[in-house]
Amino acid sequence: MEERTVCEMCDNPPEDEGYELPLCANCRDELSRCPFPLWVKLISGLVLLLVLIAFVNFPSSLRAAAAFERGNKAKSKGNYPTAILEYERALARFPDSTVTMAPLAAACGWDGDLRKFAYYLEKLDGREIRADLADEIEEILLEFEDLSEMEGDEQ
Amino acid sequence: MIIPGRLIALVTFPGVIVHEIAHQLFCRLCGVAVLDVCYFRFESPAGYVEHEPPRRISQHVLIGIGPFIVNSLLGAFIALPSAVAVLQFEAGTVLDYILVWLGVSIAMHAFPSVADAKSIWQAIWSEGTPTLTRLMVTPVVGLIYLGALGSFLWLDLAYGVVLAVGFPYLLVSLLT
Repeated sequence: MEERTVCEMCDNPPEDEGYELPLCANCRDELSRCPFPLWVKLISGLVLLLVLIAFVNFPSSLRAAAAFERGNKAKSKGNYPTAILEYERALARFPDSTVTMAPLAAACGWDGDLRKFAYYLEKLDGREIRADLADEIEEILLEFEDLSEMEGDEQ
Repeated sequence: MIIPGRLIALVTFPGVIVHEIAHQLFCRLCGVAVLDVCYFRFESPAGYVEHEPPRRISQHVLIGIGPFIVNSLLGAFIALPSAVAVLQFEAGTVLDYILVWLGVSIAMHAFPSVADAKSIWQAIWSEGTPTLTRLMVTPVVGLIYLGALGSFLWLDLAYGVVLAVGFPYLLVSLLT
């Protein structure tokens, strides 16, 4: 096969050997810098803007997630006052988060804070919560029932 | 569950676009002529970058694995600010859900395609490639094929979710 001695795009001599496609340096450079379409640039700019907007709330979300984890640790150790404090910090950032409200209600129950326990239970009404937390809340309610029965008997 | 690849590509189309942009970007970095680009179409493959055969094997590998680098980093970055709200607290805004979808879609298209693997494979087994290069690059091609096979088991989606969720969880565990 005859080897090409001119660039595929223009009539200049092709670049050094090593390339399968005979192109001169200028044409290769131009083709490798094939521009991105305008819509790609516009959408990239829009996505970047959205990400920057989302990053505004990121530090507080991260702090809330850390507080939630600390709340879980404290609750698992039976340190309910600390758990309540940490869960409430997380809830301040995500006020409608069922994921946070359910363990918070349980922690309030175990801590004997009836007012808060009742408040969060009311807010959780009709929401789907994790099975283990539902069982835990059920257990707390039964304990409260037993306690009130005992108090009734004593009176 | 088997869902047609075209449907997956349609639902996660931003990932396909970024995948092709990454190939194009690495062609530019390597000085390799780009002959044709399709960022997205409702066919198989959903996108492609046609370029001249690179002069060096390293360029071939870089262009092939470019999407793995770009899609992974970009996917994780885009999902980062919203993943906590959506995945941990299940209390994200519409913007949060959009960004998590974008991030996961982009990250799940990080794996180079079988066509990318074939292209690198042909290059390393072409005449004149040093044996050491073949030994070093063959496992990379093997990994790409594994990744492509894994997509049948939703490995690509799992990778996307892990990347989108992984960074925030890492940060949270560092804070606690």
